[in-house]
Amino acid sequence: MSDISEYAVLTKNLTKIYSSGSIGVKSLNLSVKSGEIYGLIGPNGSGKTTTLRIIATLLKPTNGEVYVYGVDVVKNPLEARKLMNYLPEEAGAYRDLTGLDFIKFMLSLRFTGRRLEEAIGEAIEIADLGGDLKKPIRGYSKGMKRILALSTVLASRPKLLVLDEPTSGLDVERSIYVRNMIRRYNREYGITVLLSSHNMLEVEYLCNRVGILYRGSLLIEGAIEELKNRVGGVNLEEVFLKVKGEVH
Amino acid sequence: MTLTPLLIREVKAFIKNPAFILGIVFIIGFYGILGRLMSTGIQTAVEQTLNMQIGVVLHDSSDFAMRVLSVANKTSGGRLQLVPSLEAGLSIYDIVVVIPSDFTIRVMELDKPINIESYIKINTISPVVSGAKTNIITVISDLIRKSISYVIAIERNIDPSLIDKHVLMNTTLQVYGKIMKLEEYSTISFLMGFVPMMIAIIMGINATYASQFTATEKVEKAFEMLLAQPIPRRNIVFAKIIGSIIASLLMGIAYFTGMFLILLSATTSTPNTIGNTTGLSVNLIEIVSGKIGFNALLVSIATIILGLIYSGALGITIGSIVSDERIAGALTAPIIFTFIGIGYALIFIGLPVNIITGVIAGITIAPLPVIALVSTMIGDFTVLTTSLLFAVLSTIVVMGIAIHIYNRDIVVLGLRISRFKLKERK
Repeated sequence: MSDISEYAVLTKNLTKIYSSGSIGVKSLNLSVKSGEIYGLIGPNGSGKTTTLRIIATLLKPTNGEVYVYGVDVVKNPLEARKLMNYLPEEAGAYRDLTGLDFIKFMLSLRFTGRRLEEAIGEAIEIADLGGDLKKPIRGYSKGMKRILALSTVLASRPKLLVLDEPTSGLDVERSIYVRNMIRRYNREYGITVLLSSHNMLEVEYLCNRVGILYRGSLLIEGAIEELKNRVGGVNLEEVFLKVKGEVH
Repeated sequence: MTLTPLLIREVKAFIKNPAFILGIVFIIGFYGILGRLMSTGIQTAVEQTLNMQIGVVLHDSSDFAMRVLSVANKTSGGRLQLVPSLEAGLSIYDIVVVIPSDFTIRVMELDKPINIESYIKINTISPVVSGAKTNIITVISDLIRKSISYVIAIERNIDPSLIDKHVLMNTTLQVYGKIMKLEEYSTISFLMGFVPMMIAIIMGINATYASQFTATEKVEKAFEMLLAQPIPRRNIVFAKIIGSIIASLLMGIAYFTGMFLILLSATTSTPNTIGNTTGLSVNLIEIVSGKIGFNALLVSIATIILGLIYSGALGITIGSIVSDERIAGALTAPIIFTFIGIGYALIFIGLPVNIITGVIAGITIAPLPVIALVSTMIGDFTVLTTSLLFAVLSTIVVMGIAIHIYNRDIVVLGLRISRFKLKERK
């Protein structure tokens, strides 16, 4: 039990087979250490989102075990959710609410009283939307909605942050801002981050360790420099292509 | 012509929507079966009613009265049966006509109408059967009038068409043992049809609201974030049910206020036959308190509450397994029609109120007030208790299904029907 709680995320033979018969992930053994930023990379349909959704308690695995800080996410999902927060890909917000109301609503599901006020203030600061925060979300751009959703997730300061394609659809400026925020929260508050991305440069910039998923299986995982040396690639893109090539 | 591709796209969006197709198939199938059941039930009931024997209490033992009755009996195909008293007649027949002792005297006096008392026993909730029985009274009234003319014409050797005596039929109904006038029964009959219909509509609207709200949340992409929060999923379901109930109640209050205002302006006072003005001849509150009982009213209120929770949970279940409002709407519409259909089928098929129909009413909720009304009138609450028990049980089951779905993959992945998919899976 002690080795399980050492990890922020630990999966043992995690398998997800959908009712249609298609395989989401296959015997996945993944370990994310506490305090690190771990990147899951892989092409579309490789099982990144499935993995993150299972960890975030949105999907149930067909087989295998998943622990978040030692808590079994299948047996005790509510306790697991208290330890983490999840930003889905293309996460939006309620159109009829203002940005400020959305922040208040999402954070009121986790905090009350003074802690809630502090979290709201923090989220407002992260969102950095100025006067637009008091306007209905239906008028927001995609980037604004994404930043707004991220602000509530970061301000909740969970022990584990699960981010599915955090910069997907954002312009360069906003992407940099989001990356910096993720890094800042990881460093300042020791928040463990598990993220998925198509953007290898982003992963290289942000992550301490990465795992390459392909067709539901983890091909390789480790520190970025270690992987480059092991496979012989100058960057993550080359590592990915070489590892994928070995499979074929 | 830019309209054509736009129109094709709109039509295709529905035709290619599996939920829409399923909805159509379901409605056609459901109403087809329901139609056959109703048709058979109604046909049987009407045939039985039209061939029924009618008891006649003859208080006037004159030769003239006997001859009139004999003519009327022959004309009706021998359906009139003499009975010694009203009580004896009603114990055998559903319709009893009482010929008064002054029958012959009144016939012979030119300016006096002939008053005949008639009694109808109604032990069914079917308006078709009760309607057929009350129509028989009109037929008998006409039959007696013509028979009088015929007998007088034979006696005096004149043309029967020259004789026209006015026959006034004063009808009393015994509905599930309760004595009431025809006007009062008409009001109760109207309530039996109107109340379940209204509850079915409210349930349908509520289910639509709940499914639309839930589906909209998914479209807004905030759904997965919500599911990942440290709150029990059942709380999300409860909040959605209560939210849709509040929305439906607000809409319901607005609707009933509108209806009340229409009724108020349409029924202030109407002139009667002797030129005076009078209010409505039937007082709804008097009928509710005197004939129906406030128990039935309380059950109706309880039915609305249960129906709202039931339909809210049902709507949330639908909204949570589809990917957008359009599919939610296409799936919810058949449910509205189902509620209305079942509510009406139970009434129109003319099924007896017993444990089985009580269970059906309980499961479908909307017809519960009819069961309450009948139970109150007969003074036996076994069926009503069973109905209410099943209503509460089915509401708990539907809520349980909604909560169960919220804890399953389907809430994220969406329902898949055949090769079509209602939700894109990653």
